[in-house]
Amino acid sequence: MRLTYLDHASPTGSAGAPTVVVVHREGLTGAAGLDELVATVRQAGAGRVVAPVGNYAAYPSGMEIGGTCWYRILPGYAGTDPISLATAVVQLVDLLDDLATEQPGAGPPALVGWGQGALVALGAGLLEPGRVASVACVDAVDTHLPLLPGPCFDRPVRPTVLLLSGAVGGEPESDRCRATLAGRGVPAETRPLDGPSGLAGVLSGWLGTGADERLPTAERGWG
Amino acid sequence: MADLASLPHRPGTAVSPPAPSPPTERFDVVVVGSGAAGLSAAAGALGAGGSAVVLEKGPVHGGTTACSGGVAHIYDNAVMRAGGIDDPRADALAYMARVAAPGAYDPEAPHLGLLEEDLALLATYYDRGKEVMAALAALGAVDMRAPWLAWDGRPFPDYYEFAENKAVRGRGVQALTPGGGTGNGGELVRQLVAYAADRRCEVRLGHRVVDLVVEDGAVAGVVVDDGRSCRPVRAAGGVVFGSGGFAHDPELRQRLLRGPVAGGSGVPSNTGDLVRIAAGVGATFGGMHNGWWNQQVLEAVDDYANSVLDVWAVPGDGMVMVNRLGVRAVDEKREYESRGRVHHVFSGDEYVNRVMFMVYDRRTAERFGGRYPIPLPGAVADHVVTGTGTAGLAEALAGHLERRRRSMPPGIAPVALDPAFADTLAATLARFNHFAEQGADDDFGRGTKAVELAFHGPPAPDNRCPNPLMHPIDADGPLHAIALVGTTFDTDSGPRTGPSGEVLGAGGPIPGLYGAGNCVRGVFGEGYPGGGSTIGPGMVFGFLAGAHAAARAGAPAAPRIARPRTARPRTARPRGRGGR
Repeated sequence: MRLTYLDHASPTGSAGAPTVVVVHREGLTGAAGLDELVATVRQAGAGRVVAPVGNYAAYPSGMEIGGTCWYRILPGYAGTDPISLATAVVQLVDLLDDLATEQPGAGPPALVGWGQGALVALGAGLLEPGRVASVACVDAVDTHLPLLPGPCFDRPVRPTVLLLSGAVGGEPESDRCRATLAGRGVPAETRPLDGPSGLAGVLSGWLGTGADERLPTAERGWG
Repeated sequence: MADLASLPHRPGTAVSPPAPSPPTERFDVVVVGSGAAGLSAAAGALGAGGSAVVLEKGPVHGGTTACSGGVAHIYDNAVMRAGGIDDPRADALAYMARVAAPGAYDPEAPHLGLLEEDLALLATYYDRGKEVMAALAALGAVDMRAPWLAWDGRPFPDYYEFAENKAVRGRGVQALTPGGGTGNGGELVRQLVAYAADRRCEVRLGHRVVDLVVEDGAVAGVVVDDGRSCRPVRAAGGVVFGSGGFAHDPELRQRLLRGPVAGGSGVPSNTGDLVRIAAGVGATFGGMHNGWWNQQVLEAVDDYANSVLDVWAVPGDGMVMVNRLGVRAVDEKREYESRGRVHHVFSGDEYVNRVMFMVYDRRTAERFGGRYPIPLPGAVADHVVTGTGTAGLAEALAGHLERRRRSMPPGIAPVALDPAFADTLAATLARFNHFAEQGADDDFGRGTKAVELAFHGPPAPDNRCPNPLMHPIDADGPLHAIALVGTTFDTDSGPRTGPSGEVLGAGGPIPGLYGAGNCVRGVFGEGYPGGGSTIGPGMVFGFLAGAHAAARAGAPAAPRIARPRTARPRTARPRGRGGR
């Protein structure tokens, strides 16, 4: 099944701003969670924002897995279920294909993923580097990286990858991810979050929008 | 079942060369599969003092159990007793019998109308289920004393409220977490794997059992393919299969299941290995047409066949489900099993319900958006068809189905709307709206069973109708439709088994061969008495089989009893808002 997604058109006056696909964290429980991510990348200068929803559903009857997720987690197990992770990656690639078909002249979007979404975004970017402008991974989990589908690491071309933590103090995990990716031949950059402009500022610099220079201090933080 | 014996040995065929000089490993018990059934079998063997190994062909442990809520349906369980809920044996047996064999059940007949061995298995399940749960807790393997609660804090109700069911709530139990919380299927698996690991029992991933070692008419081990080589592993006491059903084997589905069934929502390794392997050693089979029925979005089956997506609960109050004629065929708010079965109805000249359409209006889309399969409000959704009024919806839906003609899931024939679909749907919606206003569904009794409200979740705040599970549908505004097909969690059919999980041949048990869970004929036959009906029997008969096989190997009979790792059970006494 194709991913469902919310499609936020570019704000008026933002022609030329990059299209960004935000890939939510595990535990999404409603549109508000997506709105927060959309607001963050908008602060970072994004134009059109596409926000797909993972396919692991939450139910109100005692079977919850903590909201909508992208792939299955096994408690006490260092990795994850590679089948469900691969499925999510393929679903996101399909969405990127749909976006490219829909607007043939537009440049490829940047991917920004959080948590499980960071893994899925990274997987899609590695699998189809020509379909993405860049990939930013917030709070990626190092132990899940080796379970990305094998073909992700077989491509001759790599996307540009940014690894960062959504909170100050999470940098060691980003460093572990960078080392793991380097071991698989995937270069990645890390950036600290301790600057005054917060996550939106870091993403702005990464996207090259220059929006961080326009951000009021009060909007720079990451809640 | 000569038909089964003639099946090609495809899934079990070894792909790796034989090991040149295999150092043969020996265990008391070899377990095949690492879901609830297999891991409970390992616990049974280890608890009896035996040695064991678990061979899992999938890339991760846990099977379908790890994808689930981890509920076990256990009669007269410790949580019920702690909460003062009586679950009398005779009534419980009658309830199980009526659910398992609704066409044969007769309270006045010998064995309640069932085959004697089938009723005996149900009796074993009632008697031994609570004992096995207590044993697992005493061993320190897993403590299943967390009540399965619905959103309103009450114990989740059973799926049928027959007069025979004297304990509608409380039979569902889950694993207590180390912190005293409630664990899902992943947590259940984690605890059982940890217990095995503590006793040096390995769970080996990527190990596919391709054949049995048979000596003097008894099963004495397996042949396992680990992707590098193929070698025997010996089992002094026996081999216990907990390897899942055959929902993901299209050939077995088409040969054995009745009606249109589009795969399963369990793990993709459920390919019926035991069906093929046991046929080769003379097993007898039962209930080969049975499965745990469910519904799935048509596009989810088609595009991602190994998805775990299923329509476990149907969201919405202003929503109906209609067939290609535009006619309702089921109480839409019932549990998945009843909804899944409706796809198998052969009416007139066809399986008229093979594709059902969930139809809802804008209000329901907004109030219930984000609860699968209804997307978030405003979302772009390939699986949702929208049109204005019934005529507009019919036109859009017809086009959608035409585009999908060449991409239907295996086993599901293409479907086209009846020419009168729009008018019939309009009449159906008008009738439903009348039911919603009066608060009673005269056709299907929607909203009259406790389980419906449990699955529905909290009523929509703006629903002022007398029945919170129904709300009038605006038939003139935008209407949405989602196509659903019949599917399974998994099948629960395979070799017949005895009270300790022994696989039965024509002349009695096949020495050394056991099975539990979805890979064997299910104790509940055609039915699904309540949540946890898959995992419960898997755990109970798996544990008994593991212990039996260990004893057969000469392991000490008395299990090592450890202190339970968790304290007092949580109560199942009804609480929260009143029931229906």
